[in-house]
Amino acid sequence: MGKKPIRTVADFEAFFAAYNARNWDVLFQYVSDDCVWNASEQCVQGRQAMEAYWLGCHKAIKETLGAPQKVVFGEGMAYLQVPIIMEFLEDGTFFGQAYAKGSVIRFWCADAYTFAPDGTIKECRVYSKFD
Amino acid sequence: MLDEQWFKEYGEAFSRAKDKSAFFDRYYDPEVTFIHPFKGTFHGKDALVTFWNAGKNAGHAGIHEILHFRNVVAQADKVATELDIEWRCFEDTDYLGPRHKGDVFWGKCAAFYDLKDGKFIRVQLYLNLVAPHRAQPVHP
Repeated sequence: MGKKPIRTVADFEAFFAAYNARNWDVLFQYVSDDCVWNASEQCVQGRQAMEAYWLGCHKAIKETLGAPQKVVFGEGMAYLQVPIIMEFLEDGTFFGQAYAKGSVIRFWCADAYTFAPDGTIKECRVYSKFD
Repeated sequence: MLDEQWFKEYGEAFSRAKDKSAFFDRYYDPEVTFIHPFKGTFHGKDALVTFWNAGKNAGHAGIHEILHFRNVVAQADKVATELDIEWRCFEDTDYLGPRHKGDVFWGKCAAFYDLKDGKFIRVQLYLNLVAPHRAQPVHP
């Protein structure tokens, strides 16, 4: 599948929808082949590592992204905020805390995106906020 | 125009102001809402200046906080940026955990600023403490 640039809020919505559907082929249309995904201590690069990272970290969790909010585009960059819902399909841990099967946690993240010249995601840095 | 140089100067003004009252007046709307990921939500000058200040019983007791901005993006009345926060402890204290005099610790932030008449009316911070024991979310 060909690459797609992210230039609008609708593009981010499509990217998030692909994640929620675990449709990796569509999702990686928006991602450069050498993308660096930096979730702080965990930093991976490239589709294979990113996909393994998401699947590995989420084997006990169903994560659903809400609509991107407060989106700010700049030259080769964008920021947004996104609400997250995590449902534990089995006992698991998140941020060092144990959660029983059936637990649901909600929180917000901020993402900082840097784009490649073709408009695909070259790097993303994830920041979190817990209520 | 609120660009990276503007934020660098803003950060330097914040970092060198021992009492943040005059700093607040220069940059913040009196009705500002400031949302901190760990410390709560602050409304207005008194609450925010008390949180920022470093004296006894203030929000940053024993802490000198230094801001390092990068990747500033501005669009109309909205600004988003990343920043590294450097906390220098000049006495034993308890800020985001127990700290000893001489400690230096860091956080990595994303911040979203809304402006009204050229001053900040709403600020939302997201913060990753730089600590090896913390996992992070992994979503796109």
